[in-house]
Amino acid sequence: MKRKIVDDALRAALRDEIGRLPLVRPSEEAISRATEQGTERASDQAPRRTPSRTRRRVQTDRLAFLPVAAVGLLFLTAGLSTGLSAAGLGSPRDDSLAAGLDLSLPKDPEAAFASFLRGVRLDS
Amino acid sequence: MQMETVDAAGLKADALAGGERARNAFERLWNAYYKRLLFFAACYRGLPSAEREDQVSEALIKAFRALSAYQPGRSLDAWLYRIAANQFADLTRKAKRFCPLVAELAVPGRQEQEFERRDAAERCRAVLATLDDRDRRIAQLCFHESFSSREAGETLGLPAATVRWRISVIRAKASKALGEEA
Repeated sequence: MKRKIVDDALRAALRDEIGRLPLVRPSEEAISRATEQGTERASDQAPRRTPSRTRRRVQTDRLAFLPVAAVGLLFLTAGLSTGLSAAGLGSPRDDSLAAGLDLSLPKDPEAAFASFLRGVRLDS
Repeated sequence: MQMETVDAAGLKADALAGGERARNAFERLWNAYYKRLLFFAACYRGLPSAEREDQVSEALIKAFRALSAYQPGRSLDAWLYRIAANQFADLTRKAKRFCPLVAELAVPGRQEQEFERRDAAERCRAVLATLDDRDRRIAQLCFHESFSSREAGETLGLPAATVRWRISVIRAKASKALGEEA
């Protein structure tokens, strides 16, 4: 048997079943409840007037996290700065390794080299 | 029974207009869907028969009041059945009471005689009476309301593949009742 015949028979059976059900009129109370309070307009629905308890709790949790995040960020920045400085990668103006060293080029390279050699001999 | 159709866009406009137009719109919605939802409610075993009419009324009121959220381009049937399905399922979960639906509709002793002397639709009615609730919902949505498997699945919270599988099972039962292979 073709599928269409079966489908049509099922459809007819359902139509009969539903057709046999009584159709009552809506009560005045139902009509009033549906219409008198007014159908909610889309503009009335959003934004939500008061957040739910769950949403409020989530928002509070987020706010509580802010100071922790700020302190964490501070420590991270300080640690990073110290680490970079220790590795000699920090800013030249704030380089603790370079502090106390004269990095300018010597005016008399030969005299400087002789001074260096003297220093080596003294050390040895 | 001629299935009443509703102009969804006009219904929404009238509902939002309020007053007498809204009253007429609600009656149009009611007349078009009351019986269909009543049958659909009967497919929820946990829903006591005494409460079905009230729950259908509640579903229609809820749908009407939510019409502002309805997009006219979409199927009003699917949208409304989804509201009803959610409501009936919630109540069924809360009630958890057994309602012998199949016993109400099926008449076991007469089934064989009916198969022989009644027409195909009558045989299928008997088949429908033997289906479980889920299959009856699927049958109504897919055969009576002409929902696609996907739409029926979305309405009932089932995968489309499951709906397709159940449709084939229902067809096979109906085909067997009609005395031939599908």
